[in-house]
Amino acid sequence: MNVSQPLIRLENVAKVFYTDEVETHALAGIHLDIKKGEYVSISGPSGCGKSTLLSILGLLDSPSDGVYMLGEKPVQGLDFSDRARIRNQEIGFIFQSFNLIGDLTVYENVELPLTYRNMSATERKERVQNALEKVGMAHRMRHYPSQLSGGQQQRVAVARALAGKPLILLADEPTGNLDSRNGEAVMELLQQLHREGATICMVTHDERFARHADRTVHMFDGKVVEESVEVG
Amino acid sequence: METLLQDLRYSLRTLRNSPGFTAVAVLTLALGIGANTAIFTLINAVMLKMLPAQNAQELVVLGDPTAAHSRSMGTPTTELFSYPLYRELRDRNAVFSGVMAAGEMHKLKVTRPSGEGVTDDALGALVSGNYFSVLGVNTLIGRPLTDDDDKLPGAHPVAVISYSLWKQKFALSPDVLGQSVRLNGYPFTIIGVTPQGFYGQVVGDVQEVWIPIMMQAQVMPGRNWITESAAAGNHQHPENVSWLNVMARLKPGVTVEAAKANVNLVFKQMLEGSYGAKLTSDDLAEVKKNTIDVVPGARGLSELRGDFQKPLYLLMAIVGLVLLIACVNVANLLLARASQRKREIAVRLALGAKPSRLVRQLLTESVVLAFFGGAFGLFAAMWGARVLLKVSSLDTVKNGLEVQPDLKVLAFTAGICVLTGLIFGLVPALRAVHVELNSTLKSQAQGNGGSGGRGWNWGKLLVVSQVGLSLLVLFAAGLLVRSLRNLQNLDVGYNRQHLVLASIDPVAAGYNKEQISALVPELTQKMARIPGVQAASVSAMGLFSGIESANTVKVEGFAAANDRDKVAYFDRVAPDYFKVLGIPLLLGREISAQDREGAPVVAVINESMAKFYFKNENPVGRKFWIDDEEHRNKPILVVGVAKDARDRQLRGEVRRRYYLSITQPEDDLGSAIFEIRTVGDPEGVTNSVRSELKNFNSAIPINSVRTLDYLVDNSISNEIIIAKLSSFFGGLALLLASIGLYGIMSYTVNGRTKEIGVRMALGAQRKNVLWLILREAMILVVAGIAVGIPAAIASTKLISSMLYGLSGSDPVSMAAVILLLGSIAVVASYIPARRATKVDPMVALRYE
Ligand SMILES: Nc1ncnc2c1ncn2[C@@H]1O[C@H](COP(=O)(O)OP(=O)(O)O)[C@@H](O)[C@H]1O
Ligand SMILES: [Mg+2]
Repeated sequence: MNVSQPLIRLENVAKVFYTDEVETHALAGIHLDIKKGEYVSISGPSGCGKSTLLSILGLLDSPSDGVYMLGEKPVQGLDFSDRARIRNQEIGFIFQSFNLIGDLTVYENVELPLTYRNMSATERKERVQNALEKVGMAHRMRHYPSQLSGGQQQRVAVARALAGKPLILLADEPTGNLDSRNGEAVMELLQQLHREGATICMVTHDERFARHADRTVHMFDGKVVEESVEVG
Repeated sequence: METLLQDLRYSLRTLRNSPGFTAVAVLTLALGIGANTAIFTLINAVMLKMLPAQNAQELVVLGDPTAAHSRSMGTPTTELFSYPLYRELRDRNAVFSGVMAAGEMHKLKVTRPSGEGVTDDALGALVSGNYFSVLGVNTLIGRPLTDDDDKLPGAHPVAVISYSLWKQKFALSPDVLGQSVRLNGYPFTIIGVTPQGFYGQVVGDVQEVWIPIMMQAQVMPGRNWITESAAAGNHQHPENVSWLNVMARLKPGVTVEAAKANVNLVFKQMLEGSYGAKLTSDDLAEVKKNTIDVVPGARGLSELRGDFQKPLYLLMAIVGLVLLIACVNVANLLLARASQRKREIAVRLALGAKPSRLVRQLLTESVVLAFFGGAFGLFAAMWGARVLLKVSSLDTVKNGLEVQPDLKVLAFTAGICVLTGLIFGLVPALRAVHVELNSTLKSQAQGNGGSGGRGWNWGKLLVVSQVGLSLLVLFAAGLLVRSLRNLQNLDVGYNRQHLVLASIDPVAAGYNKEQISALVPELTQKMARIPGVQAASVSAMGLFSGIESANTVKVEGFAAANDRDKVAYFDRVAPDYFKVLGIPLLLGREISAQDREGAPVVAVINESMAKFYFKNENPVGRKFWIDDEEHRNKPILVVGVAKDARDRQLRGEVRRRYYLSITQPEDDLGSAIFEIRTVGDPEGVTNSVRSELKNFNSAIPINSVRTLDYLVDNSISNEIIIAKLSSFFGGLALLLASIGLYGIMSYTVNGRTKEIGVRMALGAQRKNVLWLILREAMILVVAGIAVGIPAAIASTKLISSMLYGLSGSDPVSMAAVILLLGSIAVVASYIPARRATKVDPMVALRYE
């Protein structure tokens, strides 16, 4: 058994969308390995398939072709509830539009994915508090999302992704809805998490932020065109 | 005015542009408005309809206007009147320009001189000569009856027939005038035809033939209620037969109160005078305690009105609630649509439309919608009212009620439409305008926050109220259904199954006392020998026959505290009566063959009578007397005590009753009713019973041959109707409420698609999502139930008199209703909840 077996391995992954007799080849022949503790960014022009790739990595969607191994196990053929369990336990999502739930407090938002597991209330509480402390939002626990700035909301969203202690954090344009100052702050937060050992895969079309990553995967028209490694 | 037209035009266009919405809203409203119109149509027909008489407001009814189908033998009553009492009142009062009397005759047999039958079953009326003139009704052709047709008993064989009879049986031929017909065998000449739409003085009845009261004895052979006569079988004095309804026309300027005072003054004088002298001293003493009521008579007489007033008003209340529930549904539809029309409204506001003007525009739209619903509802109602009538009449009343939509019904429906439109339109209209005024200031909140989201909003509050209202309706229906069940399962004290009752009228066939005494046992034996019959007996009163007899009695060793204590009901029964019915004897023996004429007069008394008069002592061997001059010296010996039996009505206390031997008649038998115990299904035997009776002597009129089940159901027909209709409307309420719940939950799911997708992206399982939506629906339902329970319990006080064997807070009904509502709610919200589980988690990645 290979010691450096990657956490995530995509082999020859393709994705085709069929709409009104039009086939859209959103992804074709994608090979991608992500090792534990790596910070990978995916960049490329709009419409090149970044989000599609991320949605496959996040088990929100399945590839039309190819193999996806997550933690040495193939994920195709899993049923809805297994996929939901993996999303819940092994993946932490951070969205461009934060996607906090307006009627839940900051605390409840962070707790939400944990409520989909069999976890004791005390453990949930501890995890939520730790996660919120990590992103520096513990003092806003009882607030509602609408009472926070965008940057703060995204930090709460990061806490929500962290609370589940996932294998990997997937972020789709996490700074896309933020001004540059707040964007920097969130990027710093991710880098901080990376230093503490988190595996991160982030989609961004902002070259500046892409450079934060260990490795940048450049995409064009559904294919990986170039990989560059940051020397840091 | 111009803006109104403009609003109307615009409304029509908007509605046409969203046909789906319009169809659902109109259908919902049609159900609600239709139900209301249907019940109102019945109320209108039964409660509000005026007699087609001239200046009907001048008419009054003397006595009880709801006692249109009864007769009373014995002590004179002041609810219905005997002929002598009527005549005196007519001639001696000072307040009326005319006083008329009428008595209905059911099953009048009409034949042509050739012997060819016209109808077996006409409803006739014996009326005073001034009947038509007091009502102010003329004939369409020919002439009405007049005072000249009301002079000498038996001397005026003339008849006026109704338009419908003329049309159906005489082809509208003018030759009908002067034609001869036989009525119950006696020849009459037709002299006139009433105008279309005149059915007599009783609302709900369709009278078809009117003949002079002087011809009573001719159409009721064997009975003379006009003059004193010694005819065989006629034992009653005319004073003792109360059978006439009396109506009068007030003289100008006389009030109802003044008329009542005068009538009772005259009545008092009569009792002191020659009228009073004809009564027995006991009867006179009894009558003196009474007064004669005089009430406005524009709406005629009606048995239905007394019977159906409460049920109809209750049903009106119920359908009112149903309409409210329907309104809530439409309001919610409008709320949902208002958010789709945000842009349109914003543009109009931006172009300078005043909010108040917009509200009016939106309300116009609602009212237009309601009128469409109303139009369909009216059709549904006309059909529904007829069905209701059919369902409800159960043979007891002729379907003479006019359920055509008259002006009152149309006005009612129109009023309901406007009201409905305003009720369901107001909240959405105000909200639509309000939302738009603020929207520019409002920041686009993340996630949801629109009206389709989580948390409380108008739509949800409306659904809560809907659930509460449905609970109210369903609980009432539940109580009524369970009351009916209690009544139907009531132990009547004898074997209810497999029993047929056949009632005959030998008096009308000319049988005298002796002949009847011979006839009855003979026929009983014939009945018993019919195939499929186990045994037969006979009695004077039968079971659930609608007739009843009572006497005042004096009981050995019992001191009556008041007059009511002296009253005991009675029947006359053949040997084996108790055995055939299965009424257990508790003490002593039953009536037997030895108790014939000449032997000591004996009686079996029921438990209630035994307890009341003899307390804990053994009544067997004790004596009592019928307390009037004639019987004061004729003791009746108690030979047995029978278990209480419910033989007249299911509700109430069992009356004190004694049973005499039918072969020891104190008076002649008015009718004989056979109790026939069958082996199997009693319905199948009724035809054999009929033909056996006809074979024996076809001249003896058969009043009825019915199964006991039928008669019992008939006695609780009101309860049956109410239970049926309230369940029906309860179902409708439930349906509408579940549509409401379905609607709001669908809307919620739509509004929360993104949130649901996010939850799924975060790993929510299908069951988590399902529960998320179901729980929310349940919160609405639980809130509705919480609001509904106290309201329901409080409002059942209104129907407490209709309940039987349970309390107004009956926990079983409540539990059943909650269970029903809960499960229907689950079903209604399951569909949107299922749809929620199908949300593609990919929506989390999209951003707007
Ligand atoms: N559900 C879908 N149905 C059809 N086509 C889609 C769907 N999702 C994405 N696509 C198409 O796939 C391509 C890649 O989209 P996406 O992954 O969202 O690009 P990016 O995130 O890089 O901007 C685009 O051409 C897009 O139109
Ligand atoms: Mg994208």
